[in-house]
Amino acid sequence: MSKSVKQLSVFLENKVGRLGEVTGILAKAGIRIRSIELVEAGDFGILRLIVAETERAKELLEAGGFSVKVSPVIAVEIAHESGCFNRIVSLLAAEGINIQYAYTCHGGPLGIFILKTDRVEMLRAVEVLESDGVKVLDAV
Amino acid sequence: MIWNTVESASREAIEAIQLKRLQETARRVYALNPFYKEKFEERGITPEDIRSLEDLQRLPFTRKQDLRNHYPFGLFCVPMSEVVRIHSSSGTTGKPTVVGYNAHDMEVWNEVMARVYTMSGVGAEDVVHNAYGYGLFTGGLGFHYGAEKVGATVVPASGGFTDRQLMLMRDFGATVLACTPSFALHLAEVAAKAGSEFRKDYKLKVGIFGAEPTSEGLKKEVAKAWGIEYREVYGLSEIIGPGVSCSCSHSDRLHLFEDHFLPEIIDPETGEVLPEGERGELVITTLSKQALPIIRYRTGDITSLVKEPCGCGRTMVRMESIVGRADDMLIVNGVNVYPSQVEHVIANAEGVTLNYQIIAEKKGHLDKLEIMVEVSEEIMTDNVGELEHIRKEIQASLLNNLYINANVKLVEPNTIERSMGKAVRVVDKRR
Ligand SMILES: [Zn+2]
Repeated sequence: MSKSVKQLSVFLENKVGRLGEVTGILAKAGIRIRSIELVEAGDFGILRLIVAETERAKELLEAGGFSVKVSPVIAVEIAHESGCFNRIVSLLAAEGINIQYAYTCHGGPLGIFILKTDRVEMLRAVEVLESDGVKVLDAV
Repeated sequence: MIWNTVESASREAIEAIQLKRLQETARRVYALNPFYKEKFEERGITPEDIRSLEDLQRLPFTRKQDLRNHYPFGLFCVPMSEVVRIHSSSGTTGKPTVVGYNAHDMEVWNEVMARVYTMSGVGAEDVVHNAYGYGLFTGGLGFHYGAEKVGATVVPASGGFTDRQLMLMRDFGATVLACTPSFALHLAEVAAKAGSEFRKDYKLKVGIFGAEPTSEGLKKEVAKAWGIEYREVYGLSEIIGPGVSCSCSHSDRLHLFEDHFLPEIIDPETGEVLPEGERGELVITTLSKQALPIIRYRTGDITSLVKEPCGCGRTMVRMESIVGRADDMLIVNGVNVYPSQVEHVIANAEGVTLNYQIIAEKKGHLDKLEIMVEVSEEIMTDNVGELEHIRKEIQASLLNNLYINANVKLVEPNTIERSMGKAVRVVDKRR
């Protein structure tokens, strides 16, 4: 297993209040949300979350009736300066590694860039990034 | 191994037996039961008018309601002194249906169950763990005496007490499991708590399952969970109990013991007999029962029949595993749709059994179908594109396999309405 962080994906129907139920369950349990992104496709969407306690969050959400999937994603540290995203994207593109999706995560003086490659490419993606001096995180 | 040579007799020989027995049965019910006599008279026929198997179509149908109307023994054709056994349906609404057997009928039942066991490769060396319920329900005793007839050792476990059942299966070295598929799966789930290697403690080789509607997905799951062969048995108490038909080693279809039970497939709407191979309602006439012979019984089960001889050597007609219930049939823009077909299509497309609900609505003059599918953990992904792909794939499979144009909607787990623990499969808003 390559260096990665765990991401939770939650299936949501496009209905009023469902997003609030997810954040409500986590808030009530005192689980901090580090990053949140909602992607929608017509009648449904997927809520992607990076949280402090992944396994406990998964159990609580499943108990709350949600379908939840845990998947590894790559988290890299980025400086708040222009061109930093471009550098990471270009490094991977040059190696022919496809990025399925990406979003950011805030915390501390530096930003965190979360990205998902094809599962089989993950190890190589991490190697490519690290060999160019990019800091890949194993926790956020 | 084949129990009785009649199972591999020529079509002509089978039909000769059928005609002779059909004539006897017609004479029996006409002479001994006022209900049938009246029905024959209404149609202006007597048993002498039955000269060929096609003449069966001139006889009236019998429905479950007829049995209820003559509760408890009104359709029996022997004096009670001759009746040796009574069984009855649980009947959640209204009067139960009551069936009776004389000594001859018991022999017929044991004979067909012996064929079921032999077809499943079960003989004198085997230990049959029988977890069908013993009692008024025909399952327990039907499986019991058939096993004794082939000389197997029977453990009459009946239902419940999962842990104790598992202990008995291990300690007595059960090689055959006879129960409902859902109980078999429950047993496996509990047994698996002992660790993933649990199967080494058991000697099971085959399971003979039936008594409840079962999806292809569930069958595969049960066979895999226990690592055994799956045999499906079909039957209903009104006809005899379990033992009307059973699947063999060569075919998923079930050989129907047509020297005792004469099957027809009809259009459930019009009552017309359908050509070989077409799907419709199964209608059965008993050919050898004496206490409660029954003419053209509407089973309500949807299936199809093929007469082509089977690779196992048997020639008896083969029925498809029940596709659905005639009562559940939806007609959508002129196409007949059974909920269980939808379930099969989803299971085949995704490899897992998913909860679903079919919603039929009228839009203008056209019927509109929406199928809600719950996103379970098995198909959940972090990728929106993959979920959209699954949605479209199910939609395309429904169109290609069932010729229905439905909108598939993915929904959260446990959002489909449940009734008594079971998901409500059909909501017809056109009614
Ligand atoms: Zn066969």
